[in-house]
Amino acid sequence: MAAKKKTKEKTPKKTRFLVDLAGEGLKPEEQDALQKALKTAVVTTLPGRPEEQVCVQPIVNNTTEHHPSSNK
Amino acid sequence: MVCLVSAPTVTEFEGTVTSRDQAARLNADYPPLGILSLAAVLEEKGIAHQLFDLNRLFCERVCGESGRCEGGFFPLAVRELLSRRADVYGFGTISSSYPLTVRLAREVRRAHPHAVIVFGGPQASAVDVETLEAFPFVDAVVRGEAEEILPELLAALGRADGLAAVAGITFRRNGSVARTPDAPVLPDLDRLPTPAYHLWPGLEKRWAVPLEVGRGCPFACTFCSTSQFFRRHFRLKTPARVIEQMKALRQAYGTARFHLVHDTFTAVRARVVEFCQALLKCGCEFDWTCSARPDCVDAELLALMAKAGCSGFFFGVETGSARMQRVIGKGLDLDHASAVIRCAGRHGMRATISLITGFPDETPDDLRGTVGFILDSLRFDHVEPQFHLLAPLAGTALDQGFRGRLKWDGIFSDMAFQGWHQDPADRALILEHPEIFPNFYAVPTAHLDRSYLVELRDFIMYGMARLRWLVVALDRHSGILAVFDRWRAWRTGHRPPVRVDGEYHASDTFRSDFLEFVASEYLAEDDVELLAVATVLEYETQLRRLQRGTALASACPPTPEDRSPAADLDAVPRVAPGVLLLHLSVDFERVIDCLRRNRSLRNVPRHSVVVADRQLPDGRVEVLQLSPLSAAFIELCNGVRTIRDIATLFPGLGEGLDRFPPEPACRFALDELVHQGMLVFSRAAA
Repeated sequence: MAAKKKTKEKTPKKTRFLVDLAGEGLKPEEQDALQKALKTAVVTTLPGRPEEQVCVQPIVNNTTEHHPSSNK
Repeated sequence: MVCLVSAPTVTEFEGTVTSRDQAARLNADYPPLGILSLAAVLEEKGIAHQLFDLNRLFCERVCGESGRCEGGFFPLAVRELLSRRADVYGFGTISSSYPLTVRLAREVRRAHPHAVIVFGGPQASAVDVETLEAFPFVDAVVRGEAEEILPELLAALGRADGLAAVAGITFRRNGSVARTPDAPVLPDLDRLPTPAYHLWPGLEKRWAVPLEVGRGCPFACTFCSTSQFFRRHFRLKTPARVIEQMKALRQAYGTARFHLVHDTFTAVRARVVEFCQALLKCGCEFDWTCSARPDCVDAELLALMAKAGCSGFFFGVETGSARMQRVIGKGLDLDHASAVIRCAGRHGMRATISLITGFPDETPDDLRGTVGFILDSLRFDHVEPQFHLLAPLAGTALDQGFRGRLKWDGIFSDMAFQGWHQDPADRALILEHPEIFPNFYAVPTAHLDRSYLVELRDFIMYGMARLRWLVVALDRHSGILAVFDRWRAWRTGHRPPVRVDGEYHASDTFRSDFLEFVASEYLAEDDVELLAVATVLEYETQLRRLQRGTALASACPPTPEDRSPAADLDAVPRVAPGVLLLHLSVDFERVIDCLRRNRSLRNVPRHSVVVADRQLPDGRVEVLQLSPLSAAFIELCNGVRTIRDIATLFPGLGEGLDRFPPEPACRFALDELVHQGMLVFSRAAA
């Protein structure tokens, strides 16, 4: 027998910063719809952009530097 | 009194202030583990000592507002060293700054003729006899691990039987250079005291603390000096000892992040499993990184390491050519290496991968394999590739094999990096003593032109650091080596001749020249595959324009002041500092996804999108594609309109929004976008 699917009771979302007001006056399904419409996608996360005139390695990426045996 | 002097990794950077400052900051921010370990041993034995950190001196006294000391770094370092008035000066040495170390030692001897000058560390260990023969002011070299040898040497200085009784040193006897037998490696690293971190102020401010967990690599790659220094004797501290040290350091400095330092931490799988299991049981959560060979880890081990807190690896891949893998004695299966690197990303771990070009037998096909490996890995955000020009490090199989045949061609490996311009005094030493400074010389490359290689290396490194996805898109279209050739030809025809070196590639001129090259050479072609090039070019061009008009700031988590007073409809939202908004004509997310997955670009929607670019507090850069509603909403938050103003405009932001009550919907949207870090608040003017 398939396990019974738990039904999740919809409750108003917890607010984060606008503590008293965010979500107030909106139905849970309206909050869901708005949140979906405001969803932001992370396209890429890059290691960082060095400042101009910075040697990108080995100085920046000095993962192997400073080991007692490293001769670089 | 013993003065322990760190090997400088920052030397004299001339003319490029930003470079010098940032490079110095980065280096000065890293505790010199070798001499801190020696300091701890001396402390334990009650031997008076002090630490002299050349990187820190450079950073504090030469860089930044307070710096610019007269005469440059060398005279300053000499003055400071001499003021220490030590009986013994112990210099740590590495290949890239060995000429500077030698010059400093010479000045110490001139001013303090009775002080004893001892060299140690990997470079002096490899060229001990040559160093003593060439430089009469160096009294002795400690070879290999110095924790037991240095105290013995110090004790022997005052004894009649003298230094001859101390194993592991090279010294002067009766006017000639003598070598005692090698000292045994330290069998039990648990017995070593914790490095004297307390002598290095500011450890608590570091992102992560380096902690040595073992020594010795059992492998024997032809280019590597590590196996020689620790004599291929693989050792690990016990998990109990490492965890004890991690806990103590957390207690003392408040850090739970560690770089676990070992050349090949994962060489023995069972030991890594044991360590991870002990970490999982220890009751503390630590974040740590380590070095590994890709063939010493597998999916199961990676999963366990991630669970135990491992957040990043340094993988030495070395070459993307299967043939060269055999030639250099590394022997990696490249498909497996790729799989391991991707698997690390799936577990949320970052991977720095290191590759080298300029091997003596390397052919254009081999080079293509190496560049291909780098470019392929660039598609994955968690991978940060390094691309080095081979340096024949002293004492390696490569150095020994080419002894007497190394060439001086004025091209330096980044592994022999001394800043943009080499000091004439260093150069004179290097030219006079090729046997002591082989890393500044070239191994002859029969099939490849080294000036081409060094330019290619700079082009790829700086290209991917500043224009990563553009480089990926171009590579996918026509192969990065073909792009590089076309770029060189274009530059020759369109730009006045300049010295095309690291300094040029690090400058904004390279970035703007390259963007112009891509715009003029690639956008005219009618090819769907160029959609990615065009889109990323649009992004990069706008980004550059915005960056030039904006003082860059890191995107910071909102402070309480940024979070609006809850019920204040007069609060004024604005785009968060450090967030740059770009308007693109093609779906950026889909383009990047196609590049990442090597999929066709045919079905990518050509509709306008807004993309946010921001630097995170940890230095990484995040690029986000906003939903149409977010983009339109943020557009309203111009730093002038109040929440009340925006609420009245809210229904007009998109279809169907009029079904929401405007004020609550507006507040909800603000809440969401503040949470995403896109918006902050300021008070409306009274």
